[in-house]
Amino acid sequence: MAEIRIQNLVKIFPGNTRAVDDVSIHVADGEFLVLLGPSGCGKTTTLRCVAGLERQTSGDIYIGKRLVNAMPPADRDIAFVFQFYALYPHLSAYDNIAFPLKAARLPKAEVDQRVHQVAEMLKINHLLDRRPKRLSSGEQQRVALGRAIVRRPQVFLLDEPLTNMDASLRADMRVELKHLQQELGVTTLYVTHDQTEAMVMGQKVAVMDAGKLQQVGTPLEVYNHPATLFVAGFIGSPPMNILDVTLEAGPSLVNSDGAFRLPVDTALAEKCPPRTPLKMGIRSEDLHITSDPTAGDMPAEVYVVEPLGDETIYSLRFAGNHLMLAKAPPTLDLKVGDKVGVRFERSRLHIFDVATGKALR
Amino acid sequence: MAQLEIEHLTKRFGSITAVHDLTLEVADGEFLVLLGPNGAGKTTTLRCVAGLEKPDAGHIKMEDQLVDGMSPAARNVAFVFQNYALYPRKTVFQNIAFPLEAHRYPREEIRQRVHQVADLLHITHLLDRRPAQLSGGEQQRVALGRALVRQARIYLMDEPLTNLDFKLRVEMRTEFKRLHEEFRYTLLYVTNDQTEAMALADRIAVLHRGHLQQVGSPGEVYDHPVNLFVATFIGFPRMNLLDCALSTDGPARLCAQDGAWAIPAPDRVREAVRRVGRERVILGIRPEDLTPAFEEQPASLAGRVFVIEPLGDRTIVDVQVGGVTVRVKAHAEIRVDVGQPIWLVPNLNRLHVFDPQTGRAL
Amino acid sequence: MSTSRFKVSYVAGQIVSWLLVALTLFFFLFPFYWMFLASIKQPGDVTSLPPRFIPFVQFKPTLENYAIVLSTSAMGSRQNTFPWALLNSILVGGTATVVAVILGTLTAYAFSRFRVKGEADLLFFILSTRMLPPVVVLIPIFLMFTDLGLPNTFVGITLLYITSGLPFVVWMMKGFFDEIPHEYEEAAMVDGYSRLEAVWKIVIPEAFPAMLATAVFVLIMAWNEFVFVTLLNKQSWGTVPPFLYQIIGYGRTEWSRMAAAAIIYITPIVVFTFAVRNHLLRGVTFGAVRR
Repeated sequence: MAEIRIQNLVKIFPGNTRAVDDVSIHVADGEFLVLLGPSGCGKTTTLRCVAGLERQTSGDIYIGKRLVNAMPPADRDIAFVFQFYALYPHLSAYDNIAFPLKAARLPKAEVDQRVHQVAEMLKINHLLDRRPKRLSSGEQQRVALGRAIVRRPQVFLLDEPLTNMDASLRADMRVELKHLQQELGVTTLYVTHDQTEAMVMGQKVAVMDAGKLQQVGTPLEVYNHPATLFVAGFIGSPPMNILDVTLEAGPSLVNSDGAFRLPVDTALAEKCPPRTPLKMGIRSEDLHITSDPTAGDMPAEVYVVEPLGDETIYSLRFAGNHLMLAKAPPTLDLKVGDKVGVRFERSRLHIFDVATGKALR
Repeated sequence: MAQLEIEHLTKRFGSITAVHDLTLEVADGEFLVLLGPNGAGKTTTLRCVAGLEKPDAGHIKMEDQLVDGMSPAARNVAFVFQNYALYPRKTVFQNIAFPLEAHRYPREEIRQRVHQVADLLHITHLLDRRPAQLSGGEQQRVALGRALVRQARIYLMDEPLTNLDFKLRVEMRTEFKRLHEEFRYTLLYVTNDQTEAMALADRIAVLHRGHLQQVGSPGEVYDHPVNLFVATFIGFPRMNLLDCALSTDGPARLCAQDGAWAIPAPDRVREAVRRVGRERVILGIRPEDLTPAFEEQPASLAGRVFVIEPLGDRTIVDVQVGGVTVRVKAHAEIRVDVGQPIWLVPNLNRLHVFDPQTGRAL
Repeated sequence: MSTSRFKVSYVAGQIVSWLLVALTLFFFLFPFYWMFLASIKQPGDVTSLPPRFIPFVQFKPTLENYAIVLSTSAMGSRQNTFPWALLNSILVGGTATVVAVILGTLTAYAFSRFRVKGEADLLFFILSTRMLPPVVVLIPIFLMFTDLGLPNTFVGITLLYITSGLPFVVWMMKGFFDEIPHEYEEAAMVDGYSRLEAVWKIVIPEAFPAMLATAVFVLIMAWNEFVFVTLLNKQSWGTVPPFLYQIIGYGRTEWSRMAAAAIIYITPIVVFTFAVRNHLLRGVTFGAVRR
């Protein structure tokens, strides 16, 4: 069993910075869990504590049911892939991959067999003689992965390995990594700040902010049912529209100056405490632009048009001067200044408490 | 009268030709985006226009005036750098005022204009701070303010949004577009992010290894890419490419090499392939122009599900068709398992074919 | 608990680290302490056994040595006194430092910003001058100087120190300029300034701390230089190091006076270095970390 159990992990750096604040995460055997969050949220520090590269201030870490707190990285049976590949520049790709095996004093024949097996899997057989300098970044990344895989560790730990690649390569590598992990079935803990990466690759996503864990769930869970305002705003492209509102008679959600008034159904109204400031969230794909509005649709004016090719993002100005983004198919050819009606998909409204940031369910 | 004309610009660094015979025009008030991967020559082009690099060949004209020998200061252009280049020892106010001081504007006018720009960019409350005390997004606005405070002939921007984190980037993108709509600046903007280019530009100029590939509106480069590079660089997820041949015994069809699939070839495709006289072509089809089906369909690409990419608002399904991975854009709620057989039906009005040797669209 | 096992080994590690640091500090600072003691002892107390380390308790401190050293009436001519030598050191060292730093900074800027033909070779050539011990060129320099009439002049020795310090300044400042994004001047140039104006207004203020740090190194070099100035400036414009050396030769060496002179001599350097110590730390790591 190669599960990872992080219990009440705390890391305080000199100067009293709480980089990791009471984080508990369980990664099941064979699971791919992505630690997602903005820079400085503590995700990399958490990963490094699991690896043993960083000493936690308090809390326990179990790898495969063994308590590893005092164990140096070499004894934890893990493989770590760094953001900057960290390949040995004076060794060939073959030697880079073989390195950990030679360090473990395995017989030459076995080293050779395993290196070739891994190279086959990663499709880098033809590159084994080259030095890192003569490899493209995608190829270098695969060698770094090879070096991790060849050890057959219990656990893979990856620290933003795709961040330094350009967009199209990253899109391809994401798919490859996901497929690879599915085939190998090794428990994987992966850190990134890119929410698209997290959504695509993770079986589970753990969102962190300022050292605290915000939510853990499958990609669709954190997307469709964000537990906090932070998660709602961080996941999703473009970011979720957020508006300050209160619940008033109607029932409707009304903004501060009363100009924006959205009727809602009673089921939703029951969840909201009356006369308290709330935050309303709705994703851009849940705002539907109609050219002939009916009652219950909100009037708006087109403010900015961003055509992306397969869809267009409209920045719409609502009453009260609020801007919201709405997605529409490319065939809807609106211009700046056009007046439209917008239907809010009420079943997809999210309400958050302002003080705690938590979602009201 | 074009605001900016670049004629046959060539720039070499040692043995590398960064920009090769580039000819491009930017009209007054136009938002032109130079798009391409890193190393395509976009930043070099921008720097030549600003006068920070000296071209090896070609001319730069602004408002019909040849500016080749002129210093950057004399060209009256504004430049926003990728790393902002804010003067670390000056306050935000002083940073923004700097270009006006260089041109010896009266003190009162400087104060007025700086406040005007700061209001526009919502940074009035930051005027007394130093750059080190600002967040990335705030620094970016200050850099923008320093450019906008001048009445320059053209505003040159070198990947101004690249260093921002995702959420801020999307917000600023919309703001940029709004600013342009309102004030109609003439903008020459460099980026390697095709989404940004599509969202912002009036026209996009696609560059690859120093060569201009295509210039056109976002709709034009998306729907009618002139070659494989433009077709695969623009659009996310990337356009699928499949090797195939045109078969004309019986109804015209495009078939896979190994006979794994065959789809009807529309007339215009048949004509184009015949005109060029090629047997084998590359078929291009965008992920949104394929429809997934779970039962056998005629005229479809058959394969097995390889990886599922849930993006939240939609799901991308990667399918192994023959030896090639094909991506299809599906609804977010689609239920599918890895290894499951699946059939992809193409929209025959949205096929692209390319010459395998030249890469050009047919 | 598992975490407390962690802590014990951590604390033990800390104690050992501090012990090592203390030992090293003692090793380096003790000679200075001894010298300071010597400078406030009566001549007889300096070499007494067992050695006496605590003032007031083990011996009676005195400022006599400082008074004698600083007076201008001493052996031989007025020029052969410590204050005169000190003045020479200040003039020569100070001028050489200022000129070397200014010229070197300008050169470094040019190397950093402009594409100079054969840049790598030129830079190596400049650096190579520091690879050999200066003594190797002692004789050629002496002969050249004599032909040019430069021994015993201010210009001669100062010129020598400038050319010694220049390569160092170029090397340090180039690394520093490489770390300052060239976009700073370019932004200023686009905004309306000439390159010279842009450099003066924007780059030099940024570079100034590094220039100070570099100046410290050049000054130390000129301040401590012994071989060349001893050989070249025997009759006039001699600096303190040869002066101190010649004191040793006169019969019985007055260690206490020499110690006082030495303390006076190192004080300006120590003060200056201490004042710019933060910049020094930055200076030593210039260009070492590439992001």
